[in-house]
Amino acid sequence: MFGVLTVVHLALGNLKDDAASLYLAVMSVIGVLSYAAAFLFIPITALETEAARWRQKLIGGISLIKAFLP
Amino acid sequence: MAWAGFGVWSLTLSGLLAASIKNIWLARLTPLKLRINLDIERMRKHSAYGFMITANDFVTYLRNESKNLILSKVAGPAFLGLYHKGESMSRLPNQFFMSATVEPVFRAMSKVQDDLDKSKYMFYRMITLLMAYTTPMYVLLWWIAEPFIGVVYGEKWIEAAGPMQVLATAGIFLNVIYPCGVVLAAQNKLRHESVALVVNLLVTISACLIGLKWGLRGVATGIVISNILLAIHLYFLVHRTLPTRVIDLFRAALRAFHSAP
Repeated sequence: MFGVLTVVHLALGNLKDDAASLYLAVMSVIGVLSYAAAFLFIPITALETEAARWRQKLIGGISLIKAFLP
Repeated sequence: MAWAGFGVWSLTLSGLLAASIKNIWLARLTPLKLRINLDIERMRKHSAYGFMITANDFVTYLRNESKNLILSKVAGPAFLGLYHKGESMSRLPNQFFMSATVEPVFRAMSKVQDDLDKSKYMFYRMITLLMAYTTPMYVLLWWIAEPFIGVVYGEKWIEAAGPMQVLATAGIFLNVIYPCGVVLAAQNKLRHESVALVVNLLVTISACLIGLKWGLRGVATGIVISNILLAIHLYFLVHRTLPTRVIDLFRAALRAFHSAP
């Protein structure tokens, strides 16, 4: 995650000084998404059961949304 | 009450009223039939443990307040305000996860007090999970400290980003300090923990006084160092209590980021 945020920070250039709120939003969203993706999809041994539980909830949520779609 | 012109008394009385109602309500809900028990031996046993808990809480309180006193007296209330803002922001991941983790683990660990292997398993499992949950949040806080403070609180608070960034690095050590505290409490080793906390109180005071020379970041760095020393001291006490090795601590911390082969 540190690596991902470093790459994003470098890619954003001077955005931190020019538009702090946009920089904050981009870094936060990418940080949270990369953490969620790592947590759910990288097979970290210590978190296997927790990750499986959250994957099930995610799948349940997607199914629920699909059911409401035409 | 505030509308009726009670002023500060509205806060005081509302707090007292809320606490009283909560206590009465909880007493009704709790399925315990309380009665006075004059068993002196049992009273002595429980009051001794309760006294040590209170003593440790008091030393922790002194640790926090001595820091505030020094910063306020030596550097002024504005400096204290900025430091406090940075510190409270950097502790957000702790507030989310620590009490939710510590309380059930303490209860479970107290039940298996005599089974040191189970206690050891729970201790390292707790460290692994806390590391996995909080470290990414500390990393994010480190990156966004300055824009976060600037956008959320305004430019006049921007200096609080410095201590926030530095103190975010201490989060990793809090993930060791709290589980160590749980083990020592569950194993009835609170006296040893008290000594560690008193030593750390002195370290914190010294760190604040020395760190002031380098401003907000200096004080924050001093506090990080005092947290590292407290983590080492408490782990040393756990090491004497449970059958474990130092390498187990590093394994537990790294396991949070280690993927399966």
